[in-house]
Amino acid sequence: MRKTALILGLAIAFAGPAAGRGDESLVIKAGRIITVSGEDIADGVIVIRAGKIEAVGKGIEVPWDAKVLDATKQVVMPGFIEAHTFRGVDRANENIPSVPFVSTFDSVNPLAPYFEEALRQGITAMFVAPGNGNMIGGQGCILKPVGSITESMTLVKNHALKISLDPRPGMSRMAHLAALRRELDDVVDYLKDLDEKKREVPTAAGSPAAPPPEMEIKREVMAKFLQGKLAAFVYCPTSADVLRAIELSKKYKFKMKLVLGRDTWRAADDIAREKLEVILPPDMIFWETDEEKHEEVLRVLPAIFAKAGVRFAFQTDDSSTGAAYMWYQAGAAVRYGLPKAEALRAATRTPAEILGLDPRFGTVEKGKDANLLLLTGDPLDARTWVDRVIVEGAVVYERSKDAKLQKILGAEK
Amino acid sequence: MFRILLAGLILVAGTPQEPSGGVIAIKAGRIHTVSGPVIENGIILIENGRITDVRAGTEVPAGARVIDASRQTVIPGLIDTARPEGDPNADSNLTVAPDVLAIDGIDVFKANRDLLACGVTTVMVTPGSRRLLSGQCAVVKTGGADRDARVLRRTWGMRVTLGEISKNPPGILTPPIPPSAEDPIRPLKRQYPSSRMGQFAELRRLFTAARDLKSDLPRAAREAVQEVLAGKRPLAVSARTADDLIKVMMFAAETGVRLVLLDGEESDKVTDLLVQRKIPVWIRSALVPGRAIDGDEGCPVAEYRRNPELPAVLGTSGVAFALQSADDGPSDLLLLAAYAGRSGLSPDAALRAVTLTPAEILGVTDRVGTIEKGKDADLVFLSGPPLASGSAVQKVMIGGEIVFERRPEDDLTYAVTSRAKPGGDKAEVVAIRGARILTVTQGIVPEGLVVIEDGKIAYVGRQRPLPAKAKIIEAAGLTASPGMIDAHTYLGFHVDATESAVRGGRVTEGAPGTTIAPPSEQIRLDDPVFLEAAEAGITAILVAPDQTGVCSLLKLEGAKATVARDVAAVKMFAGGGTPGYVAMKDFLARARKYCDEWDGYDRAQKEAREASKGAPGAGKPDALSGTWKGNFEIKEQNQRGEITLELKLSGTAVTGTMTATLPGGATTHGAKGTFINGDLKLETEATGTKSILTARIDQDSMKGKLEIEAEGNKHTATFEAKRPAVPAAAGDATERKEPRKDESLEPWRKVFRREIPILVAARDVSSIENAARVFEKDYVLDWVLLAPDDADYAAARVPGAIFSPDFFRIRRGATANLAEALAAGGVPVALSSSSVSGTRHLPLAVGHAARSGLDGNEALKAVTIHPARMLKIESRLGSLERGRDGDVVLTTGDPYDLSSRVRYVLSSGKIVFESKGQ
Amino acid sequence: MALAALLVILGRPLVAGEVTAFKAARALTGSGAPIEAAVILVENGKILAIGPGLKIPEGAKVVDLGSATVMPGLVDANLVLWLDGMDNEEAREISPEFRVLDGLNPKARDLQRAVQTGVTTAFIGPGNRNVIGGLGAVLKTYGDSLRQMVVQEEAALKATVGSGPTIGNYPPRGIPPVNFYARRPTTRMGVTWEFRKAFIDAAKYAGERPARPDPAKEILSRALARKLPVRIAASRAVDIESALRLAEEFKLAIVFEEAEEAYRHVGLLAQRKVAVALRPTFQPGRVWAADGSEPRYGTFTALAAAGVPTALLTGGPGEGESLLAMAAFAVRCGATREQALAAITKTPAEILGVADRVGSLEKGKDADFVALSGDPLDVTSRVERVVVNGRTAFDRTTK
Repeated sequence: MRKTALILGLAIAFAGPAAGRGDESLVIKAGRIITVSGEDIADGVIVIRAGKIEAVGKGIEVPWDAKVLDATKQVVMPGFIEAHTFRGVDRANENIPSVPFVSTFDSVNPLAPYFEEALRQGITAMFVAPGNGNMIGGQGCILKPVGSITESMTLVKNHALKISLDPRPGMSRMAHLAALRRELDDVVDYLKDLDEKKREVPTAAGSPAAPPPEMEIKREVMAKFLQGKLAAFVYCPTSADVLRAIELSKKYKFKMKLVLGRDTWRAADDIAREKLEVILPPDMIFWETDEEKHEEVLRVLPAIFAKAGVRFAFQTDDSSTGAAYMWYQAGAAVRYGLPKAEALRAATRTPAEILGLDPRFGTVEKGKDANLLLLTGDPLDARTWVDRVIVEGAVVYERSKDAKLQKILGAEK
Repeated sequence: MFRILLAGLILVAGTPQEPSGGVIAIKAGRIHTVSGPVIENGIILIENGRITDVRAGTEVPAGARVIDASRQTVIPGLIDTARPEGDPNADSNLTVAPDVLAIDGIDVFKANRDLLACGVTTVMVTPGSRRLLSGQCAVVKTGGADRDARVLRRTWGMRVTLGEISKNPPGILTPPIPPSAEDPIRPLKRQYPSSRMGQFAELRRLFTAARDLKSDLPRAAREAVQEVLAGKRPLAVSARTADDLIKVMMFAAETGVRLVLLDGEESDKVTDLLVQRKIPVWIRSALVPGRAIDGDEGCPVAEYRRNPELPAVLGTSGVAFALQSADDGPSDLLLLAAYAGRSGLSPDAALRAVTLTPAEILGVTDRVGTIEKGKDADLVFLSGPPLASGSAVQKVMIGGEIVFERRPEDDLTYAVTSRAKPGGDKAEVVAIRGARILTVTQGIVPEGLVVIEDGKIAYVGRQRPLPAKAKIIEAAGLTASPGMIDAHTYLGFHVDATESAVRGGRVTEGAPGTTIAPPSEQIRLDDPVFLEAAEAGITAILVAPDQTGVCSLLKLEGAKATVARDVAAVKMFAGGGTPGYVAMKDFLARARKYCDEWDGYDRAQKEAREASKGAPGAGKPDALSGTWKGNFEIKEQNQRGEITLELKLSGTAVTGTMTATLPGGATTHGAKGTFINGDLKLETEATGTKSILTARIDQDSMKGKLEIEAEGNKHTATFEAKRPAVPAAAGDATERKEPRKDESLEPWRKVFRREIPILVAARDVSSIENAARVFEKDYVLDWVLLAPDDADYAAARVPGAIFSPDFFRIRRGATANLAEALAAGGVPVALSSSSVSGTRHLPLAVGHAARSGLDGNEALKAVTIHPARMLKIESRLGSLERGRDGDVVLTTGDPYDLSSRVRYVLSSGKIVFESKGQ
Repeated sequence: MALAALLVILGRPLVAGEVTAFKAARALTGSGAPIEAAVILVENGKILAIGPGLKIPEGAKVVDLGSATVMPGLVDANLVLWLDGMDNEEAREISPEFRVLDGLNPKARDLQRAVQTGVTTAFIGPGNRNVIGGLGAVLKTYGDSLRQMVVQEEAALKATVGSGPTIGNYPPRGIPPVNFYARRPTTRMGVTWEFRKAFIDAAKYAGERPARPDPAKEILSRALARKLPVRIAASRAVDIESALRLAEEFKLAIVFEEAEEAYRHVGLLAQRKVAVALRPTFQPGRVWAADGSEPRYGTFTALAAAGVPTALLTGGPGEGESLLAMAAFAVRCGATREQALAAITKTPAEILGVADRVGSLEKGKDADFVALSGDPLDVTSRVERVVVNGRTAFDRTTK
């Protein structure tokens, strides 16, 4: 019963007009455009052709053949981007500590309710990574919540490696880091004598008996990683782990972004100094018991990291009502002092940059993909709903046709 | 608003900062340089975190920022060992993991306030301690804004653990990566080695593997081991028993590695080897001040017991040794050093063992360990002499930066209001010449004489001719105090004893389920632990079950303890809330019923016997009820009169009337009171006049006195009265048949007779309230609180409290000494070891209490008169008075001062300990 | 220093007769139209007067809240002790005479957190592990002592219908239950039976009135006499159904708690006029119903529209699940502004029977209010200051 409803929902979602895909253009007349890249534009027009934004601004004349979407009472903004999640797969982690060779791409379930809900809440791209439970958890892929098979959803197949500095229960931090170093040293040595072997090969030339040595499959990923061809998303549960991550990345010369836990705020200045991009935990505003003073203090990570000058992206999950919605994360940050523009940026442009999607995603600018949200009002207003979602120029979601939303908003049995 | 908010956050995150650069000058009252002599009124100059000069004098260079410590003593920052952050049991899953780094386990963002409060500025952090070779140690400072300066040695020695713990390592799982059909994940397997030979074989294998470049050893691991072999870094071996110590020294000689020994608790047995081979040793204290000692001082082998004189022995042997606190959690290292002093180690040596020597062992003398030119400015500011109980850490400086400052709330002491301050023990200090005697109840005799005749004190005072046969102890310059009482201990039940021995009945809310035989019948009275305790000055102990049950009072009189009272108290648990109250009340109702039945029965039997003897009082309903007639006399007015009493006894309560007939006429008043084993106390009250009658009943005659208070003036009359015989009620006694015996309730008969107290373990306020309600409102009984968590919250209801050594609680955002708080509020407080083996360390708890605010005299009372009163045995124990047991401790200083030594211990007049040292 | 400042503000004793005047740009009284340039005069913890630009009496202490919007202190109809854990008496399944107050820590961290989110009054009851858990209390979230905080010592009798009390009651396999105390019940029907039996016995007891009073039955008979409301925690539709059946059978005055699946019985609840303290489900991915059906964002809206007195509870321990956030989500999901605001102030106050003291800003009521940086339903406005009984319980500027 549930599945059918779900598939129905999806079917409706994709029943949008194909305009904007081919040569014919799609035009949106918007009451207000939040470009994120620059100033907001009141009563603006967006011209889309072949899935790309051709023009944005006021008083642009509309191509005669264009299909026009009237959003004059609505607010248009770039789609939200989830910089790190491990939803939409069956299990977030393998049960052994080091599995660089696995990829969430092989695990994504296109029918998972998460993608459907993401679209409904205006998230147009997400990095589905392995969980935080494994030392080396594997690779993650970047998806859009549109499409019925993983291939059609995929933007980047193997985007980055996931590393976690959180020791598994029963293991000490020391042992965890020692194991990680062992793993890395091992690859370094392996690559070294692979090179030597390669150099030896020519001397054995002529003799067909000696084929050039090949890299073992299970080594490939780590090799790419240490050769700087693959970045890592490193999960740091505590401030001290941040320092350890920095130390490691320097020693082994790898590129990384940080996925932060709650207790990492003490390292804000170090992160700023290293100019690292970070992804805040879903519960980024939380209470802590101050053991010194014995009082409950509210920690506001966005405020702390903004003050330190760190570039950060928001993250959502289902742990609590607020944390489940990107617009609410932005709102909560504003509540505790973050300027509105910065808050919206941390939900759109910054995650795009962190995922290397910024040439295509994150802003409403000429030349970018037409990934747009048509909102019934201001994004940070609780009464606002995502009315339509446009991905690559096609309307992929329409609230008026979202049967499931109607159902859960109503109260019939 | 945003700004303010952030200001707030910074404030929460911030640590005390010091402007770097510029000269800091410390005016110190006293400087223990450790490297050189002690400097009185000296100056310490500091620039860029380093000491630039140390000298006597008071003049300060111009422009220097002055820190005035002219009333304080400055010593070098202390050096201790520590564990890494996080779960101490979490560990590498490899027996041999040379590439595990302790530095990875350190959280540089942690405030370490607890360590700094103990004056510890440098720690040697060792990785896990459950496996043979757990990795490389690190040496770091405990504070300072400059994170790089905090690291003295990123990696130091290679930690090896011998002994029982590492012989039983946890099982491990070694998953092949990736698992496949040919190479599946193997099940949990037991880890090699599990014997000493295996351990050394494994170490040898490791060493050869490190030399062989083809071995499968991880690179980092190989490099580290090669450094050990090259002598670049030592092997830091934890060896707690003598045999392990010897073996590992032989191994070191064989392989030529440099050795540092940790946890060398039996190193006193191998001093010659240690000296000869110049091997430094770190001795771990099994004691944590402020905590009950569990097990046999956590010794790996039950029968093995640490030599209490260990530090003294090493001190004289010339071994390079350092003191380390118990490795779980920070503890007061100075206190432990002082306690080592008690065993005979000289104060200087003790101080060196926590500063310079460890610095030498760690090879960091270029930066820490002493107060010298060129060293880091890591200083501890004390309020008094380093090892005195009264001294507290006021300030701690690391690299010229103040990282710890005692806040007012750290010294937070507050009084609570109690029912009434106990009277009678108001000490009047009288100045008389003689030997110094702390009588506890009768004040101090500065130089006096104590005479003990056949086990009892016959005289306490200035002078008195001595009988020729007297054995004389020359105690000039010594201090005499009563033998200490441990009011709650498990001594004698060793950890290796059967569980049922320690455990009492299962605890149901408030009410004892089953009660076991008195401990005195379960333990060996000739157990050596009793002698050890006696030698430390403890002459009486209350041995309690771990759960609900009966406690026994033992006198420790040398080789064999004697039983003072087999049933000396009942221990029970009070529950909180409604259920706790109901359960207790129900139980007491049951107990009361049982006891009344038996009392009634016994009385009847007695009377029946008397009746058959035709003795007076035959056929009386009980010992009191009936009509009493007699005369009274008011001396000062020499007035005579007649008195008539109509009395009715029910339980212990008495009701009736009293008629006094004077020549002037007669007055009759209603009277009520109590009748407890032979003692009658009656009160009559009428408008204007109030009279109290107290008398002793013997058979059918009573003698006593009558206090009459009329119109504000008092008269005291003595009186006698008799109860005329009445015809015996047709033998009702003979018809009574014996009630059912219930062992679990027997002890309660003593309780209801108020001969012994109830020790009530009541943790929270509600339980305490319940206890007070049941034992005072519902039943009038004697009870004392045991290890009370919230005693101060319900102090008004607390008749007395027995604390185990953990008497600290967080109050008003700071650590408060509950024992002190209650004492200040006039609640009698007793200190106990509450320990299976730690009784002999009771003095540590006393010293600790004194160090943290409790008035020394109170601290002494807490182990003498207060427990004696609580246990209703003050007529024998707890003070130096004529008629008391001859239990005397002679110390070089105040008994509660840790650095004073025990010279003699007398128990019931017998010398059970006589100090060898001078 | 922050702490010190805080202490100075919080620690000020209540001086009788001392009048304090709070000035704010806007006040939502909850009883009438919003007041611009509002002045609230407070004396002895009560509201002396409230209105636009009132004249401030001589010598009154003035607290200027500037541009803040003031609203009545929030009322949490079921504050869960997430950190310290709810009281559940494990020894018995029916423990009506146990009082939450006896076990409550007045300094519970959850209370301290609740204050920061604007909650000034809260109902705290026993947990959901017992069929009949005991007596819950209504108290202020801030005060020097429990005594000072208590509003109603015995506000309601807590009961649970559903599978809650059965959790973990199954004896381990292979061990015959005779060997140890196996807790009952182990099924939903078992739960219902325990409930019914308890009240049948109580009814009998009330009839006979034996000499020796039984505290447990005394409480139950008070409930039977409708002198004591019964709080029934029921999550699923079936549980709600059984609970209504039981209420009918014993003529109990009941209030529902949690009731995530109430949307299935809107009509029934309206017709029976039963109030609901609703644990909202505004969060995707959380599934309540046995048949695995989705959460219903519309539950609150439907109940409110049908005239069922409904209070909103917090969604959980998170900062993003505070009462204010829940009100905002309620509006998002179709409720009117008035319904949403009432659901966290007036309605819960009525459900708890303390509306005469709290829930709205009127003359004579307790001076409990929250100062917000903006409109309460705007997720970007934050709690600036919380006042309980006229005393500042929380002030952001000192944090």
